[in-house]
Amino acid sequence: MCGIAGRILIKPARVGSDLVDLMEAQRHRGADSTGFALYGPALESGFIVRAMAADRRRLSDDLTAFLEILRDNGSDFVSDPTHDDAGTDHVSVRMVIKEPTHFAEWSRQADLISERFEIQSVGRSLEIVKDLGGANEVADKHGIRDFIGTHGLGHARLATESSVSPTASHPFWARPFPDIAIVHNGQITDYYTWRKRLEQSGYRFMTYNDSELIAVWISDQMSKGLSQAQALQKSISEIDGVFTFLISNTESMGFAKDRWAIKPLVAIEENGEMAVATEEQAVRMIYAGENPVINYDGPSMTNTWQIKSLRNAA
Amino acid sequence: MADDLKTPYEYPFEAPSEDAVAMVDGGVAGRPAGVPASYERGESVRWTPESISEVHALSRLGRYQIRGFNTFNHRMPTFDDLTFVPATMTRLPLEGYRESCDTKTVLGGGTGLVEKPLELDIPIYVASMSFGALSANAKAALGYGASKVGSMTCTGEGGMLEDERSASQKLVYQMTPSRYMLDLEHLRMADAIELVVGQGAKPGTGGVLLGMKVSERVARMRSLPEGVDQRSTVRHPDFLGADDMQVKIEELREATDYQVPIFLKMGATRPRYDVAIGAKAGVDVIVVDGAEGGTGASPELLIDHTGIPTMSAIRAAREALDDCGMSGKVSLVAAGGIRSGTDAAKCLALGADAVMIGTGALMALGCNSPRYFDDYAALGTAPGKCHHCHTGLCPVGITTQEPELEVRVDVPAASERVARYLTAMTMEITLLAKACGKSSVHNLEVEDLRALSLEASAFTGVKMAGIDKTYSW
Amino acid sequence: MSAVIVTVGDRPIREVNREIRAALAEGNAVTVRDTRSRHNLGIGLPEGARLRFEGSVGYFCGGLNDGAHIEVERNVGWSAGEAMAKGEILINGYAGMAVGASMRGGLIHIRGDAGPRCGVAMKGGDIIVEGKIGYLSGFMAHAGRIIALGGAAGACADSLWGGEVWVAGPIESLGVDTKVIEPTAEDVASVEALLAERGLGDNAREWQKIVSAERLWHFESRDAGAWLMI
Repeated sequence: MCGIAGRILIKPARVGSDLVDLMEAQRHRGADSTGFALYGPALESGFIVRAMAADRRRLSDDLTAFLEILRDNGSDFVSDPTHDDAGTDHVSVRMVIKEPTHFAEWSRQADLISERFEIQSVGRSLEIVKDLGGANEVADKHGIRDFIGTHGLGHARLATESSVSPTASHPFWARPFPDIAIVHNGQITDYYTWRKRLEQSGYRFMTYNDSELIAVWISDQMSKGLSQAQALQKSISEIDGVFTFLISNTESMGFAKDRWAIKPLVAIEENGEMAVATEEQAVRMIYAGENPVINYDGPSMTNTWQIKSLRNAA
Repeated sequence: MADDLKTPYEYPFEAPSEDAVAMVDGGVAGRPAGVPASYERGESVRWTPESISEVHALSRLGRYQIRGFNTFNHRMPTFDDLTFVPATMTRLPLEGYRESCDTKTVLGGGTGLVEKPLELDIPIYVASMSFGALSANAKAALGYGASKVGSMTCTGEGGMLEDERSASQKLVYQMTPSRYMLDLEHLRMADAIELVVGQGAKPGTGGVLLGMKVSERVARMRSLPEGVDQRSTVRHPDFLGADDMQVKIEELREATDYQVPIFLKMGATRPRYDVAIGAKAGVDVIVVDGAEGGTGASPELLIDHTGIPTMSAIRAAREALDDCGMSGKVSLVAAGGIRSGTDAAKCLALGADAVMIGTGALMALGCNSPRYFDDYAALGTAPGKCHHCHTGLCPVGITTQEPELEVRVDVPAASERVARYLTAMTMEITLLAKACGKSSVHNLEVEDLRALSLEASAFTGVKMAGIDKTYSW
Repeated sequence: MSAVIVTVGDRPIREVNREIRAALAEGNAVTVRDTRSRHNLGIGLPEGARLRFEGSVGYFCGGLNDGAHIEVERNVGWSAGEAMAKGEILINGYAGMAVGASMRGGLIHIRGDAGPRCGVAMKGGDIIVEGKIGYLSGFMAHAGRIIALGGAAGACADSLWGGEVWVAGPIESLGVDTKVIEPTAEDVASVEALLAERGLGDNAREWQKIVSAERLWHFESRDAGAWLMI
């Protein structure tokens, strides 16, 4: 039960700021936590890692352990890790690492460092930043408005069946697929069934949040050869419950909407750019004038926006 | 003889006949002497007489059975598994027959958004039961009775009757998913508005009123053809989830100019999450209706096999409010199978700010009273066992639309009975509260209770009697 | 008397609605600007009120309408005119999901398309949609008419109890417990007269009139087929 949003720009600009506006407008749909999946300038090699440590005082221990795992996997820090200075117990960390020898193996080991230390995203350009509180609070704490990038997702959360904690907020990274992020509005009702199947295929889940499951489910389908568009289509008949979710990677952003037409999605496209959100009044924060509005209102809908082609179309 | 018994023993008498060993003498031909029970009572734990008749009924009907009243599921824990531990040496009791104990109850005042919170003289009010399920006389009597003691009633799925509005000094207006008789003027005449997302008897489904109770008046009020079996939708038509509900609540506040509290009523399923969500969505009062709640009509399987017990729901609901910092801001009302002041006091101790009674109030009106025996018999039942609300042939005129039955609710007398019952319940609560040393019924707490069974302790978080520890893991 | 202008912007909705009501109470017509698709504008307005929104509005616009005449220049979000008792709402653009939800009387006229569940749980009144009505339109309607000039999406009139859904143009699929019947000449004349009043008269239309098939009205095992579909 939440609000979601996505934004695509024609060239790198203040995508963080736009997403904060989109999410602040939907604050009434949930203010337990807010999160952003932001795509900045892509690295040629290596990855940006965003993590959250539950205990600020033990951060240096956690980073030492993390570095050890990096080195075990043929990687290292490219620069010193940075973190927020908000003074809360939990702390968000940003690291830039060299390419590990085997990505999936490194990721698996990094996830096992400690219950305290959770990797929230890994990507050439993806950075997931999420925390407790509404959009403006999270934005102020983490400097979201200053983030320069090409596209991103946003999420305002009203917790339903999992806890209110910074790690249970969205967006979720579809581990172990770099750069794939998801935001979701709705409630999957066969979560435990799908989780078990995916765990048996070797996937790991960090939370009991159903949105995390969708991210992994889609990525799993794609790793089996389906295109993102095909995977989106398939999710509608295979996953039970009410949902509209937005999934993104470095090249595209897509959504799927359930078969009962319950959770809305509204978009405005203009000059190669796009803003999409659960409610029209959110996209009107970006496009204040009277633009044509696309209402994705029917059952079983999907769509994909290409980041590159939108750029080329302008 | 077993092959491994090899002792070479011989009886000093002739070997007995098989018949003699089997005690055939004086017995029933063809029946072994050892197991009389299975012939008389049937001992199958699966195929009890009830289960067998259920299959026969389903095979004939081709659909589920429908009835009224409340759960017959004997696995439900009971309030009787909790006992109070009044003051002895560790604290001082108040004089039960002399010193006073405050019963005033304010609902909906905590968020500061409401101009006129509800102020009741007692922590009990009469639950929402529709006109349609109940007769107009029943609704009126409930209203007068509740008014006499400074309490209130609720409309139900059938909308607001003029009689009920004039009878009840305070009236909660219910907005169910079906929106029958939803009227802006009624909304503005109400003392509170209750958004219903479910009820304890049948969470996850909508209201039911069978054709024999869809009289001309009911049909007109509900825009239905007369005699149709009404089945309401479960979801509201204009919002679909807790995230949209906040917008809906703002609409209702706009419609009533922020004057009155907004209630949210739900059946108890996952109260630990559901109540937190309701509180965050911005309502003023949350009503949690447990599985023992009654209904005028529902598929039987729902009454017996959905929802969690009231006593397990209250603790979870209170903890949910505590966890999100909403205790004191959002009021919590408990309902579902509350029979007496004792049950009500236990609910208050478990964490409710007030309780709502449905079936109990109908009992005060005369439900299952030993009168009109032939009419009970015609339904195939008897006083003390009747659960036939869905038939519309209530022998005492409560859950019917037949005029010749409705007159059996003598409104003045029935009102007085409701007033006395509510008074008696309140006296029970205050007596217990004072014995526990409380000057207000709202100061009853979990520590004033002890559990008489492991289950009750596990369900409620109440300490086990004697050992004073809570069952947990 | 020219209209009083009320601006929404990012003001609290309570303040905006108060200003609208005060202006209407003095007998003014009201024009609302800078609406930004915001929710809960114009709730529970009385007979005689005349209100126009420039641009688009959000959810519940004109909810619980009690006789007001409301016009929206562009789109409305969900549940516009929900529980309307009387009055008129004219929407020049698109109407989001559940327009006219549980309405009891009055008229909603939509020039564009209507989203899913148009007229859900209606108890009376008329909804005219010049475009197409969305998925599950007319769901559980008890009375009233939905008139769609541009066709209907899937599961049209699903679980209709009473009331009528009139469609000119293609219907993607019918919902459970519906039947299409031949309308009487009087029925057609009544619908066409209403449309003519709205400037939409056209005697060449081919109508499909959808009503309840009434198999879900009673619990009967012989209708197990209908039951298993739901």
